[in-house]
Amino acid sequence: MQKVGVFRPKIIGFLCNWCGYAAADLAGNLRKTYSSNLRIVRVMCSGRVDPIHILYAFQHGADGVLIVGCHLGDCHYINGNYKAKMKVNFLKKFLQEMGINPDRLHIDWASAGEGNRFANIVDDFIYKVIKLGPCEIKYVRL
Amino acid sequence: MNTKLTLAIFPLIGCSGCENALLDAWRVNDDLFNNFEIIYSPLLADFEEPDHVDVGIVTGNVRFHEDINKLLRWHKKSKVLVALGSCACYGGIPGLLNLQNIQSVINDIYSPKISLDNYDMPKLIENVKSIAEFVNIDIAIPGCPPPKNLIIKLFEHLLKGEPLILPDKSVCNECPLNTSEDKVIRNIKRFSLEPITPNKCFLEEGVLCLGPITRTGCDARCIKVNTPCRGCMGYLYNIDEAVVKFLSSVSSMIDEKSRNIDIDKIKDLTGLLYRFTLASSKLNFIKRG
Ligand code: SF4
Ligand code: SF4
Ligand code: SF4
Ligand code: FES
Repeated sequence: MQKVGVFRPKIIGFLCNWCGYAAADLAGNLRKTYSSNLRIVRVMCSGRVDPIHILYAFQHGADGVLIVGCHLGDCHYINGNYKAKMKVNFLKKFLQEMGINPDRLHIDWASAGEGNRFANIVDDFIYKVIKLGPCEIKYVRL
Repeated sequence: MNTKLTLAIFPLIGCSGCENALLDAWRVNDDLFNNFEIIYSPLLADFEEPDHVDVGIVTGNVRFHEDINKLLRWHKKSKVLVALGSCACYGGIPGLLNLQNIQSVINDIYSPKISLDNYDMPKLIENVKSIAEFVNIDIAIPGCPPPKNLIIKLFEHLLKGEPLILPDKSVCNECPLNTSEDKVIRNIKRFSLEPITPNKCFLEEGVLCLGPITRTGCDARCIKVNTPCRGCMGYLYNIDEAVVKFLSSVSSMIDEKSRNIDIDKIKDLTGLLYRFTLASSKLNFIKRG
C-alpha cells in the first residue's frame, strides 16, 4: 500500500536493447533489488531516443527521465550514444530555461554484464529525484 | 461610384512594422492597390471605426483583456480576416514575455511601490497569445515583417481570387550558401562575435541557423544579407515538433570527436528556438517567473 504523504516519483527509463536493457535483465537475474519507480521503455539504441520522447514524458507527469545505453565507444550502432549524449546536453539546457530542473534528466552507461552498476545508477538517480520532489510541471495540455 | 474594396488595419500589440511593410508594398504597386481603400487605421489617421469592412487586417498579438473583446468585435465586422505578421500568426517576439511572470514584467518598468490596481489601466492577461486562439483567421501571412512579395500576393488574392499558398519548403531550399554533402558541426559559434567562412552554410560553421525547419516564402532574405535565419516565417511542422526536430538533428550533426563543442556558448536557447513562436507553443512548462 502506498503511504499518504510519501513521494514516489515516476521515472521513465529508456534503455538500449544491447546494453542498458540487458543490464537491467541481468540485475533481475542476480536478484539485485533496486527501486521499483522506474518504468522501462526498451529502445534499440540510446541514439533512438528523440528529444520529443523526453519532453512528452515530462509533459505527461514524469518526475525524471533516465537513459541508459552502452559505454561510449561500445554502441552497437557505432556512435548512437554520442548523439544521445549531445541531445541530452542540449535538452538539459532547454529544460532549465523552460523551468524544469535539468537534474531530472540523466544519461548513463552500463554494459550487458554490469547488472550491479545498473541497479546503482537507478537507485542513485531515483534518490536524487526524490530529493528534488515532484516535477515543476503542474498540469497537462497537449 | 465607389467600387473599391474597403480595408481596415486593426492594430493589437505589435511594433507597427507590419503596417510599414504593407504601405511599402502599396507605394510601388499603384495599379493593384488602387482597388483598395483604407477606411480604418489608427496608425495612419484618426478614422472612426467602421461597422462593416471587406477586409480586416489584424497585426500584433493579444496581451490585454480588452484586446480579446476588440478582436471578437473586429472579427464580426470583417468579411475576411487576415492575420498579418508573425505577431498575429504566432505571437511573435512579444510572446517571449511568457517566460516571465506578469509581476516581474511590471516591476521591470514601474517601481514596486506603485500598485497598478489604483489606476485605470488595461489589465494584462496571463500569457501572450496569438489571435488564432480567439477567432478563426481566414488568411495568415507570417513574417516579421511579412515579405513584400507575399503582401502583394495577398492583395492579388483578395482582388482576383488568385490562389495564395505558402510554399511547403524550407529556407534551406532557397539558401544561396554552399553546403557540403555530410553536414558536420565541429565548433559552436556565436553569430557576429566569431569569424566564419564566407559563403558557407551557417549551420556547418556552428552558427545555429533555423533554416532547416523554417517555411520559406521570404526568398531567404536574411541569408542573402549574411544573417542566419531566425525562423520568422514559422515552422514547417507543428511548432514544438519542429523545435525538437531541430535540436535532435543539430545534436546528431555534432562531431563527437571535436573538442570545441561548448553548448554553453548559446546564451538563450529557448529564445533562439522559439523567437517568434513561443506564444503558440503547446509545452506546458514554460517558466513563469
Ligand atoms: S510581426 Fe514583426 S514587424 Fe509585425 S508587428 Fe510583430 S514585431 Fe512588428
Ligand atoms: S542551415 Fe541556414 S545557412 Fe545552412 S543551408 Fe539552411 S538556410 Fe542556408
Ligand atoms: S530568412 Fe528566416 S528570419 Fe529571415 S525572413 Fe526568412 S524566415 Fe524570416
Ligand atoms: S546500441 Fe546501446 S547505445 Fe547504441
